[in-house]
Amino acid sequence: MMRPTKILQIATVLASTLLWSASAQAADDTVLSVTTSDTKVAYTLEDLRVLPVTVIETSTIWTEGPQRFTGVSLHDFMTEQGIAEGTIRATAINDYSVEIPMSDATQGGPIIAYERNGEEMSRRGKGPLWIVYPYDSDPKFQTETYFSRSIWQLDRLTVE
Amino acid sequence: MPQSQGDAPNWTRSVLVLPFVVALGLAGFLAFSVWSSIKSLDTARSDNTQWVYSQLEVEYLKLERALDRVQSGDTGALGELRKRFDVLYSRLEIAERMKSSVAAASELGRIRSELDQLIPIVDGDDSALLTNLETFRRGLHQIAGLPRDVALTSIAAAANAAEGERQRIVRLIEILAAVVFLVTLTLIFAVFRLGRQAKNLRTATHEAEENQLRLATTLRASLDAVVVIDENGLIRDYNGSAEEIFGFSRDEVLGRGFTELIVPEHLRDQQRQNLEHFRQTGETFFAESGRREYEMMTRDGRVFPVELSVSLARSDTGPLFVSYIRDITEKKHKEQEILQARDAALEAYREKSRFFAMMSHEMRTPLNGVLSALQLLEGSPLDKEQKGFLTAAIASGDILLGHINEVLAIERSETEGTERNAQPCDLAALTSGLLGMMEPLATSGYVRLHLDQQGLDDRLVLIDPRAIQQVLVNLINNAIKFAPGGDVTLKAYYRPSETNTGPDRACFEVIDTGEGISEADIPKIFEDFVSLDSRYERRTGGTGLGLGIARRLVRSMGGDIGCTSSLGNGAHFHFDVPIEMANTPAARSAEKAQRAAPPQRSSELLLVDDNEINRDLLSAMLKKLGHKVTLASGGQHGIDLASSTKFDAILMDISMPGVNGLQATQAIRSGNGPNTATPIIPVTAHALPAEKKEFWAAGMSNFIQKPIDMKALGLVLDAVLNEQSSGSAPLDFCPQAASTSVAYIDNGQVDQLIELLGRARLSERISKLVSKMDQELPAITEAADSEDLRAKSHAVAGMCGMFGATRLHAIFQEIEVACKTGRDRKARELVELLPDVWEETQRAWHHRVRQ
Repeated sequence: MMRPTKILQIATVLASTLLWSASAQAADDTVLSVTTSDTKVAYTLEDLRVLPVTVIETSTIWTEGPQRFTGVSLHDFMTEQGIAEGTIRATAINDYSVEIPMSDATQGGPIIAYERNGEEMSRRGKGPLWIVYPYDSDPKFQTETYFSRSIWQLDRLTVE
Repeated sequence: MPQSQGDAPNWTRSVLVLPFVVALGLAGFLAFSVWSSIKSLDTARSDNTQWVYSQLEVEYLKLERALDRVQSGDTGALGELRKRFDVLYSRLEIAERMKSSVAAASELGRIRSELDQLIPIVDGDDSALLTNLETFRRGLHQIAGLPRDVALTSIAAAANAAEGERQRIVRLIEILAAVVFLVTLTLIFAVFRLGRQAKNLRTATHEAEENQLRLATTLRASLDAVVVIDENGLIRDYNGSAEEIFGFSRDEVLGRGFTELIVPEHLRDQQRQNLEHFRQTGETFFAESGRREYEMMTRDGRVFPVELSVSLARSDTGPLFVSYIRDITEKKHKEQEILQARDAALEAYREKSRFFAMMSHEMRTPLNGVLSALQLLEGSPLDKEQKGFLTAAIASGDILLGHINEVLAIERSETEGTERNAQPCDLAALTSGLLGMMEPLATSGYVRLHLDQQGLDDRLVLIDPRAIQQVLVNLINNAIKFAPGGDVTLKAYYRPSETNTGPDRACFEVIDTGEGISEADIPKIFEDFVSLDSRYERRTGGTGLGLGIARRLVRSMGGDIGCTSSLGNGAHFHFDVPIEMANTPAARSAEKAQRAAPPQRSSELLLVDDNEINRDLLSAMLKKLGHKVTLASGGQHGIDLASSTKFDAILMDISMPGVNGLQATQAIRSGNGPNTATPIIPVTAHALPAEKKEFWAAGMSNFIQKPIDMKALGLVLDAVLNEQSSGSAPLDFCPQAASTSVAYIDNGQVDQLIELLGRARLSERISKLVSKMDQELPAITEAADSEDLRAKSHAVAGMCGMFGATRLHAIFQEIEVACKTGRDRKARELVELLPDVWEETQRAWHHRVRQ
């Protein structure tokens, strides 16, 4: 399951770098803005889609039954940004904000999901972006700490 | 003991273990429950309740504010309005998912239905939204306050649920604590029990160790060797004494087979079989059978005697034989020494006895000379004074001879033992004759003799007449001595056996009217060398042996002797002996006939004796009896004379230097001279039965006892000269003559002949005799007259006697006697017996010689 995903990741890395500047300009479709100490980058859904894809199958306390989330893993995303240190502050549309330590951004860690069960998520359905942990894979993710980090309607990431 | 010890821990164990296991199981279950509860606390099943509900209200208010901004004319805030609507909508969905929302389900339902109605307005374009703003507001207004109600209700419900959960966990923990407490208690109890058990065990172990130590010490200290073996014969234990006795150290033998180590080779197979038998059947031969003697072997192969006691013990590892072994070499050695000492003492006693007998013989021979010379002197003319001296000398000589005879009688009674020579005998004749013999002595002491024979009949009984005579002579002698001027009565009678099974008894009583014996002295009188009256002793010159001899003789015949007396009332001696009846009344007449006065006749005699005095004396006696005597000074001289001159009889001394009497007899018998068939009479002081048999075996007949009594000499000579060979004992009151009561052959005599000639030669001689007899027998049965019969019988009687055909010999003798006394009918009756007896005799010879 993981192996094809990795191959896909490697295949898409080059493509995403080439398309970088063009997609950053499409301000209207921006779903996620990433701010670091010196840069501010806006991502559209299409920008995120070209990044390595990670799929998580898990149940959540907010949904009924097992769910299949598709997105880019936080690890891949931070690697993409060339960021290895610091704290990530994630903020939602309604200004809900939470700090995610960089240590969470690992292989097998959370992803920035843009699809649930093969469909894009509406704003009413906690879309368009949702940070999802693989809750079923480890009981440690089934705690309030990780639930609070599972921010939906995500639209801003700030790395400090 | 081991069983009860085994039961107790089992019981304790089950009592302890069961609740412990139950409690532990319960605790485990509870702990699992608590752990799961804690685990479920660890993972949150839902989002933060307060946050979710308060955010519902917050988002509602934010939507309302965005609506306000749009209504106040800020059309740019339309996007904001749509965004807030979406956020509220998604919040609603989240709130619906909360568990605690069940309580507020209707409120949430109303909010959703209201919001769902607004969706077309929100999702329409901007102008539509602007125109419907008022509808939007009314819709929102419909649910104003509801988010707060939801929050309040749900939070209260959530709080209740949390409370319930907390209480459940608390209860679980309480139960767990209780169970843990119980388990702890059980554990403490178990620890306490275990502690006590451990203590008991320590004590028991200590005691067992002490016992073991004590046992080991006992084993070590045991003087007996202790060897423990198992059923396979392997040595399991072995103590210090065993090390000493067997020479193997303990380490050397443990675990090795005992048979190869300590059992001598000749007993090993037996031991292995015993063990095998035990393994198969469980039966033991050795164990539990007490002490027994056995043989064992040391390391260096020495076999030694042991005393062995084996017990069987059952142990955990199988049966064990515990053997206690004592080396009894020393004991055996001592026993042997004691036996040797006893044998040596007995031998010394016999030696002394033999010496005594020898000395007596040696004394009797010269005494014989002295007395015979005195007897001859008596016949010569002497003056009165000389006669007085001579009488004194003869009396002293008689006393001395009496002493010697008594000593010899004891010796004889001891060497003869219980071999009494039972013969058919007429007790009436015996007692009458005896009393007649005692008459002169009685007369000299002015004693009147009486005979009471009322209890006797004229049957013949089997008895040893000489022994009876000897005892009676002794008793009557004493009675005469002790009752001078009084009366002495001899009573003889038969007494039927008291029980029907036992033999009848012949009883004799000798009663005197003398001074008697004190009762205190009676037990002593039968002991040897006891003489009660020393004054009398001097007067009568007794040795004190007489009654001792009498008792020996009576006892040897299976009877007993006793005395009742008291001082002043005389003495009453009585004895009885068991008898058997002899069923031959005919013998009596024959015997009486034989004793009829023989005709006097002058014969040619040869006297062979190396002792000059004896020779002269005997020759004088013989001459006095009317015979012509030729003298020979030794064995060889006798042989020479016998080879040239024919004699009617030869008197032969036995003990002679050079050629002795037996050798001379054999030489004469086997020579070619005229005396090969002449009767040769042994003259000797040797009188033992075995010796007599030897004489007869050598071809001698009859017997003359030294010292020589002239009367006896005359009787013997008459018998021999008249009958040529009687082949029997010297003249007795009851000679052996019964034609039907004696054995067919004298086995002793035949054995002597076998020894003398060897079986081959003897059987050759016997077959010659048989062919001769087969010729003679018809002649005898067809004899013309009694003189012819007598002569023919006489001719064969001697041959039969020489070869031990005792019955045949006796019958021929009886025929002779019958013929001589003119009883022809009797003689004919006897002749008719001959064929059968002859056949039986041949069979007996055949049987004896072939053996």
